[in-house]
Amino acid sequence: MKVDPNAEKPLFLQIAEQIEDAIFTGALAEEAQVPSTNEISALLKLNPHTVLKGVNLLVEEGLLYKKRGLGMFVCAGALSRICEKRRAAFFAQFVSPLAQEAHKLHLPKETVLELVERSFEQ
Amino acid sequence: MRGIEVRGVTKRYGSHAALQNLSVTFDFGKIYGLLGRNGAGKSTLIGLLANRLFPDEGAVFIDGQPATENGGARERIFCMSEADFYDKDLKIQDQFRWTARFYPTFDLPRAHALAKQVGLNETRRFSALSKGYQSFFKLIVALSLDLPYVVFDEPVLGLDAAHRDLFYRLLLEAFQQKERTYILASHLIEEAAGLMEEVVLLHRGALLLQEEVETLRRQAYRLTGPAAEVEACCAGGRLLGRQSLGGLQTVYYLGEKPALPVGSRVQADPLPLQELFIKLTEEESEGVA
Amino acid sequence: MNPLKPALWYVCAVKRRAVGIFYLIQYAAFGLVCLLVALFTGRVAATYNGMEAASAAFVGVVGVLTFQEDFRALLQQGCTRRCIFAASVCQFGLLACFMAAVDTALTQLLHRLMPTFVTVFGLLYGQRGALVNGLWLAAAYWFVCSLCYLAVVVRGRVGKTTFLALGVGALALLVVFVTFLRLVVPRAAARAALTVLGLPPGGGVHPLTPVLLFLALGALLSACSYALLRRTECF
Repeated sequence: MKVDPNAEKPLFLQIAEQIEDAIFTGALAEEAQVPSTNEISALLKLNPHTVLKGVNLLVEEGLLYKKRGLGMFVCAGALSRICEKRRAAFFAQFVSPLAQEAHKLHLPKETVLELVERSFEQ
Repeated sequence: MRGIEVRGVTKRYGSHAALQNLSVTFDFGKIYGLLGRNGAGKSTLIGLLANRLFPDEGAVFIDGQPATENGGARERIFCMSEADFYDKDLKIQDQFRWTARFYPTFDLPRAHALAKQVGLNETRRFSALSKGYQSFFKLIVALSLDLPYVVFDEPVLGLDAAHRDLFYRLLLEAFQQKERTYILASHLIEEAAGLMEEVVLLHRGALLLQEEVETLRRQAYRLTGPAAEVEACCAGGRLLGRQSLGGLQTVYYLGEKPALPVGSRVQADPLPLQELFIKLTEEESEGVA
Repeated sequence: MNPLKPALWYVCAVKRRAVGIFYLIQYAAFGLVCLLVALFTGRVAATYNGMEAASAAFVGVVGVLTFQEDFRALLQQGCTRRCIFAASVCQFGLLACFMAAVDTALTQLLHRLMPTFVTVFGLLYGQRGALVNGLWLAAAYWFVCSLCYLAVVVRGRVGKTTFLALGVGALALLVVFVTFLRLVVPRAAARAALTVLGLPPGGGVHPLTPVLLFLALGALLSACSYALLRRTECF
């Protein structure tokens, strides 16, 4: 894990995203234990309150849950929930900027679609 | 737990006011950065908290108790000072033992363990230690005390990179074990910025700014681009400084991130904290016009 | 937590070794003198009686160190000035009593062994009981200690330059005062001085009068020290 203190994104969001990424890539399986706030805080030399804020964000989103006295665990179905969320964001995050850039470059729609198809074939 | 309240404190040395009607509050349970340039009043404020100095006006309260000449307040706060107030001829192990007698909550086994961890030879006298180990001895004392308020004055002075790193880890460890307030006074902040929840910035004996670090990160930007476009962008906030390089202008800007129009050639980067504080406390003579 | 106890222990403990070394040197020197005298004259006799003076100088140094070193260290350990002062005064009392007891016992013993050896007290008031000798010494040590402590506290408050000026001023004033007394009221002044020192001109010896005088002066000096110390800052 790594955070960039000079990035524009708040640190707690960076933490939440990294944990989410770990679940998404399978590094953290469902029902697996997530590193504790203290461990993350010590590893990254970050204020525990900042880390907690990031972790709590994932709890609110239903990706993590707390087992009393044991720590944080990944919820069952977290992976599919992340996929769902990312699918919903796919258009805004990837497709829309693609079209904008294509527009700036005066690439016709047909060429772009062709390129997209080619990338799928690879 | 009402925190540390500094109410309207003025402290003069002769005709020079080191603190001028300063009011600031430190809440319980947070790690603070107490920042400011040399002579901004950090050490004077700590001297007042530590009952070493007396305010000329105003008062300091620790959990509602006056900090000055008050045994009750003394049991709640410890100030690790940059100056050495210890008997320099005492051996480190004896220093620890005495601290344990004065502070019943002092964790002597932990102090011994930490000394071992950093390679501090406890059989040596304080005066025989290198500057770095003298610093670390004082840090170990502060880190082994179980008090609600612990203040560090220039904690990493003279420490090498590995020891600085170790100190930050130990500080976090102690903070996680028990809720308390840590105040780190320093003029170097970049490497400790992640630890701090809130910063208090002093300048010329007055409070310049008190803000959560996360908020502050999203409130200061460096805008770079063609002069006219940059100027148009920063109408909404406070300008901290300007630099011109050919046709390109860089502006340091305090305020919400300006909404850049589509196709704008202006680039907005968040300003690192250390740079922000330099810009905020720069004297006119030092700034680049 | 009452920090008075550890504070008192602290101020005493850091000077324990100094007291030991002082006595070691003191009696080693005295032994050497006796030995030399014995070698050259063939008689076991010595008239050296600077022991009490040396002890008085030593307690003065302790008074100075108590402010210069212990004040800072105790403040850092979370003691209030009131507590530091109480510990210091207790320390002075203990030290004065301890050193007076040791000095009285040893000097009385030496006097028995060598009649030529006279204690300072014996010199002034004639040989008397060990108890009154000890009391007198303790009161004198306590007075010297308090005086040196006050001096160094004053120095801490006003700074080196002002302190030197004050010291010179006080000495000058004393000289003028004494001269004035001797010129204007020579008889009465001498009488009064002798009376408070326990040697009334009318005859008789009252060694307890100076004991009371020293105690009272010491208390007065300590009170002045506290008045200054309670507002003394530490940089």
